[in-house]
Amino acid sequence: MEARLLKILIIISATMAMIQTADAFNLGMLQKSSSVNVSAGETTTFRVLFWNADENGYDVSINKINAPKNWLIVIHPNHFLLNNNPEGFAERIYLPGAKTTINAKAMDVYITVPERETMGAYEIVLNAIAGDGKSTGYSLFQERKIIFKVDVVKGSEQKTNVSGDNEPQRTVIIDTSSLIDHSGEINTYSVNTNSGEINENYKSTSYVQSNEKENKKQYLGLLLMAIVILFAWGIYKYD
Amino acid sequence: MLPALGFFIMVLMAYVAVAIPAVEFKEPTLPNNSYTNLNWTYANITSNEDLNQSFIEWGNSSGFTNVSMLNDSLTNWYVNMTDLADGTYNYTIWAENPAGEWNQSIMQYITVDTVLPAIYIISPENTTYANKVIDLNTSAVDSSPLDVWQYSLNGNQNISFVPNTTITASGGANNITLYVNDSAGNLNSSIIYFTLNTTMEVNLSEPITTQTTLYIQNTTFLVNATVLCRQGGCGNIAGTLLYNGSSGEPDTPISITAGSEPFFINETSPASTKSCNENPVPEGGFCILTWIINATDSTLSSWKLGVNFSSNLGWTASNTTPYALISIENCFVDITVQWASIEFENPLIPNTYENPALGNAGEIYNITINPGSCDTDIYIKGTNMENNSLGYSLGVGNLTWSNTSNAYSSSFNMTQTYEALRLETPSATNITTWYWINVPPIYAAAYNGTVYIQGVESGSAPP
Repeated sequence: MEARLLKILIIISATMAMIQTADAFNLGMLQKSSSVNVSAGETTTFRVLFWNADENGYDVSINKINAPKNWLIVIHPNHFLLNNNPEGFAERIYLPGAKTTINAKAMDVYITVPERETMGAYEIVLNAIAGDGKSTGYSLFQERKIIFKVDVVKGSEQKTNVSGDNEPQRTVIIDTSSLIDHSGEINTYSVNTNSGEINENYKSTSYVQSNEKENKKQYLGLLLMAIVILFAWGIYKYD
Repeated sequence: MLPALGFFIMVLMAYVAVAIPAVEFKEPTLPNNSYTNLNWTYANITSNEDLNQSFIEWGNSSGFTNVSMLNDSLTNWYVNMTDLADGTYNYTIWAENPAGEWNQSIMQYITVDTVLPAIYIISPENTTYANKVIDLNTSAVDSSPLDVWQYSLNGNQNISFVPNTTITASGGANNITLYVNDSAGNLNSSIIYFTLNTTMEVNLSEPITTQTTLYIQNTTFLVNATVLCRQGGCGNIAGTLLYNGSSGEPDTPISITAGSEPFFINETSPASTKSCNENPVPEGGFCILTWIINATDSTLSSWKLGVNFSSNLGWTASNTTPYALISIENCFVDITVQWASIEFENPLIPNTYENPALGNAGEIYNITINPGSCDTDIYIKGTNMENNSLGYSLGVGNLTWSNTSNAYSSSFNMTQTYEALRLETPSATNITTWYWINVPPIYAAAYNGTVYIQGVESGSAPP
């Protein structure tokens, strides 16, 4: 009798071990806008909402896939924890299936068009990867592709082809914390290029300052040259 | 010596007491220090012996006069002082007995006051109040001390009070009559008419009013509004669902015609104006009104929603809830994958094939395109299974998947680039998938990999 009971328990245990429990993994995304007209030198902003109606939270990372050369792309935040009540700035969205309203995490993408950019249509592609990858066997991730179409309507000249060339592109990716963004503050960024990833951390202000320094150097050089020419002309005329 | 003197004094007093007539006031003589609202008064006396004559010495601060008294017997004498001006008088009765001896009464005082007290009502005023508890602030001016204050609210019984106090008014028209009398018996009254407006406290609970809420076009949602009756009954209440159709604020009832833009009421018997089931709503009572709205707005704009409550009572002012700001969006991509991993029997034996995932039989590998989603293209890809410590890997193609049946023969090899799993999937669709793994002869160890599911709006470029 006891042996039979033991056998039944073993069978039940083995059966339970062979059953995988369902564990829902919800990812919703809404691009509030996907196209814009902008002038060269201007910065435009897109907002994307992410939500997770399930109890278990997971990490979401946003990566740049494609962007025109020399465009400044700021993603904020680019890494965050997504649960059904996300921290930081959120917007409310009604889920008609659940017949409830949920707080959606807001991600802003700031796109600055270079001042000397030619007119034409450009495309910025981001990829959102969601999941933890902590499971055994095959872990599941969900991905979303985010495409922004930017039409530069005022620039130096008409652009002949759509972006996506293979020239090195610079993307500024905000990293607000070492792993997960909770604060929503902009602290540092890293610079990536297509030719090879440079993963250096800079203070954003110092990046801007370095460009300004370059410009100042050029102006000083021109000024010095003008003074020399004037001085030479003076010597020539009055000597 | 002293006892003899004392005895003499007692005998003398007894003689005097017997010899001098004693007079006492009697009714209708008013008590000493009385106030009267009559301009005349009687002074009646009685004596302990017959009197020859008697007169009253009547005076005030200006002087005095003597008036002979009449008698109806030799011991009962009276006089009626008439045409008295308002003021305070004193009087003394003088009486003579047959022996010619005079005596006088004690001096009494009387105040004549024929003027009504002047009433001043500071509150309530002839106005409209929003709080049913109203101050009753009043005062009166009179030459005599005030005696009693009373009020009658809306004709009800008189209630005595001491200024100042409060009264509790009823919703609508009210009146209060104040009475005050002075010590002389002068009674005056004054009436004030005022109105109490009962209040409807209103609230929009759904959508919330503190933050913009996004809704997907052509989906339905609830509007919930609450009204709470304060300061009295609110009568029969009705609420009208409004949106900002012609101004910056909600002002236009939402249409009941199906398909109307930007909204219509999506109910069996639609009505933009609904009555409370609790009518008439008493003080402290509340009512919740709910509408089911379809957001048809094809312009994908932002709108303001609010509910205006009104009552059939003239004294219950209508009130509109704070508005909720809502924004209509086209659609989103919202996918729920009903599992977090694909697991297989552990351990799997090398050189075994077509090993089903543990969830195949239970059909747990479902992918749901949630309502509100755009038509969505679903893609799937995977990675090799790796054992990082050994450096061995199991190619991704050993994992196969099917979106049609729990039969290995229907499955496709997983790839490292996205393959379409289902295209143009409408919202509210569930896709069941199944998985198998082939384990070639390989070093026995734990191997892990990753499966990616991607959803993109149909029409977009594949990932």
